[in-house]
Amino acid sequence: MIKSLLKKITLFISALSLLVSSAIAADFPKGPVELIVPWKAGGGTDRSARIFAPFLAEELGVPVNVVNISGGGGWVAWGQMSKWDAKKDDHKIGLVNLPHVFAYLDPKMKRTETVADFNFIGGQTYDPCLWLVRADDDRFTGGLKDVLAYTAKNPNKLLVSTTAIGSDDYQGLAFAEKKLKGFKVGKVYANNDAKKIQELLAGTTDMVAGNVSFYVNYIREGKMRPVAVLDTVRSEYLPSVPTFGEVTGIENLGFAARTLIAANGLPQDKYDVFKNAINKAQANPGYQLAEMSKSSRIWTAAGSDLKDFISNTEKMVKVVEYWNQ
Amino acid sequence: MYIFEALSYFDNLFSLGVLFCLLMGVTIGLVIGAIPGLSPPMAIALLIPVSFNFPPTEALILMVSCYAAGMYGGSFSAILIRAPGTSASAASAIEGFELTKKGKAIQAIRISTFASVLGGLISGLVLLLLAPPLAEVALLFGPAEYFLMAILGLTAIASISFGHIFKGLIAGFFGIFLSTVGIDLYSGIPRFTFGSATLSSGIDIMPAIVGLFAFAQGLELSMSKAQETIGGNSKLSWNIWPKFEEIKKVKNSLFRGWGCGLVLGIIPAAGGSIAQWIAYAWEIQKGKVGDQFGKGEIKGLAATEGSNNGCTGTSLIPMFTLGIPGGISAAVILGALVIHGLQPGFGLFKNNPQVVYTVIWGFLAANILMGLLAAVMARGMAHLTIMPKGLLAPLIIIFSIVGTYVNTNNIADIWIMMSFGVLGYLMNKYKFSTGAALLGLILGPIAENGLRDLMVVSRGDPLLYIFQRPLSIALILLTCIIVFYSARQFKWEQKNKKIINR
Repeated sequence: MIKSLLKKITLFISALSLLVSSAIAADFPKGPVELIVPWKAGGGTDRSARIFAPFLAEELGVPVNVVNISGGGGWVAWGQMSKWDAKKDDHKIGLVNLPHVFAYLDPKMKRTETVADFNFIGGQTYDPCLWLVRADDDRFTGGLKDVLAYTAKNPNKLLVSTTAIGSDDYQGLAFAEKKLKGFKVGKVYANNDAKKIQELLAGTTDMVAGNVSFYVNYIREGKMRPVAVLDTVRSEYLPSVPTFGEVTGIENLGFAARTLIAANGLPQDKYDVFKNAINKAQANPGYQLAEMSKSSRIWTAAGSDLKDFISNTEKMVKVVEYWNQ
Repeated sequence: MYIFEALSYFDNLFSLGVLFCLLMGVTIGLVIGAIPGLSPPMAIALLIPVSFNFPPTEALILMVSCYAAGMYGGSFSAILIRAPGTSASAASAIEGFELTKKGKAIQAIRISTFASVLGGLISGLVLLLLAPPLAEVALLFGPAEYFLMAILGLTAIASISFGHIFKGLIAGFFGIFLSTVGIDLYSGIPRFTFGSATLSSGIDIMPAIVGLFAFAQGLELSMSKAQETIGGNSKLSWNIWPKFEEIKKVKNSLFRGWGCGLVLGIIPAAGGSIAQWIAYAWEIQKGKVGDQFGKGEIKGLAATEGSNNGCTGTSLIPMFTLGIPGGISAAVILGALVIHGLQPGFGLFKNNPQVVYTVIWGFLAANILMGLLAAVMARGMAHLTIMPKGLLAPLIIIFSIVGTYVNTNNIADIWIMMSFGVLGYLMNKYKFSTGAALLGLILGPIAENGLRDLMVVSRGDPLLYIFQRPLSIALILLTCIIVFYSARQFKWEQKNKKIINR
């Protein structure tokens, strides 16, 4: 008698708890969700976030506000994100850039956080690196082969405009210098693509290391000639351009990728709400059109795929060890 | 002929959508620009999701009008309470606020409006009619030219020290020193960051400006009698349009200011922030005995205000014709172009002339509209000058803090801003030029990176490289001429010090 009563009570409680938890999922998110951009308003990540936010808001049923927390090459925001509290910060989603977040591998940065401190939900966009020369530069009409032949004959003579040390563009160049015999180039550093474009078009430098989305227009305009894509597969926007691996036989992965993260220890049901909303927003044709018009790739990697990708990226950054140069 | 083609798109302006976007862009730009700490790039970024729902022409008009008005809106707070709303109006804060203190706030705003509106219009006309032929000008600027231009800009320190040349140089060097803080672009080594993540990306210009000018002003006002007003008057004149004689008196200054803005605006990344200082320094050089530079000289204000809006239109030339955005604002506008399926570059003028020319007409119209709206807004804002200091000082301090925080959401930036504020207060008190420190902070990285780029591209032989480039030689000559005249003037002032002081 008592036993059956106990059984009933436990059944009731478990049913109640199930009800409560599903109720949480149903009225989550309760208010506006903050999408944290670790850079200033107006930059590439910020623009992409501001385009994505309305589509995400449509799926979540609440407004999504883009909040810029800038400074420290992203680390002012990332430092905060890694300490987000599952209860207090459950209405926050953060953007984490790969490979930029690996700046912590540089001992000079004195950071205690690692990628293990982030609760990754999934990818957002993926933009492979691309090397380009001027369209009217006759030395390199044969693409990467000509570039490699030229650098083999003239070490350090080829000048390349690239984003600063530690960036994806630099990473791709430095990786090539480590792996390809005789490939040594002079580097002119920038902290934005406008400077790189200006330098290449003016003939100050011979080559640019950048990302596909920034340069497709200059190729279409007939100002620049793509040399190689630093990816395992060709870019859908530049199907005739070979990958670095196709030409040299050595895979060189360079990319600027963005991932979305939530607070550590966020309950599974809330995590799933975010994840489903993100997936649905990424599948929205309106959003896809917007990213496509920027020649940017929507990236849906999640779960163990994303984990593997992140650890591979970490290995690559460690190969170059830019902080030891 | 493209000039006639450009003119033929004028009537596209008269649609409800375009006019609505114009009004919205100008209003948002004026308001955000006027708040210290909030800058035009931020206002434009806020418009990204909105503009995405508009057709390309409307979306772009929304952004360019916000850009033009934001640039101008920054001058209001600069003139009225010495709190520049944008980095391009920092120089205006010096003469503008001194005029306000003399009770000439409305007169200062009148000249500022005239200089800005006409400067923007001229700049817009250059963009409309001469963009294709001027396209390649941006490509004349390489590392050597950036380095030399920064050096040329630094010579302005001599002028903006107002007689305290050694103190001015100390302030300038201090600014350059502060510009070295952060991770070095070339080696990846953190310099003077003391383990702080915020400092590792360098000292931002915005908190520095807000601190040196606005916050310092707030502190200074707190030290004086609470019931006094800045202008010493409690009534305002309402006439926002300048009289013909007023303009005639400053016409040469206006032309110099507009000229600086138009020419320097074309140079990506550096032009806009340098133009105002060069225009201002030029103006001081041209000054006559009896001019009140540094103590409220309307000619100085006319030049700085003319230059910062004079560069708005031309700074869009490299963005439209080459796809090279000169600054963050232009980069966001470029992003909007691309999202709407338009390709920046010469193709834009050939393939989508209706869009690009309508947008430029929109830019011109925005400059006129901004003048009209300013007439309304300036009257409201000018009330700040008849507000008792006891009320105004805390307001400036609050706005400085909130504006700085909203920009980056980084608490550390508030501390940086407040440090600059205390520094600025002390500098003003002991006659060290805050303008010189700011100039060092702005030009330091341009000079440093320019020189290091130059060393790489010239393969360690910069002199030979420089002497092969006519523009570099011209910049060197110009710098020499300025230094020569400054030195002569300095000697003359030393000799006649007694006479002037009497």
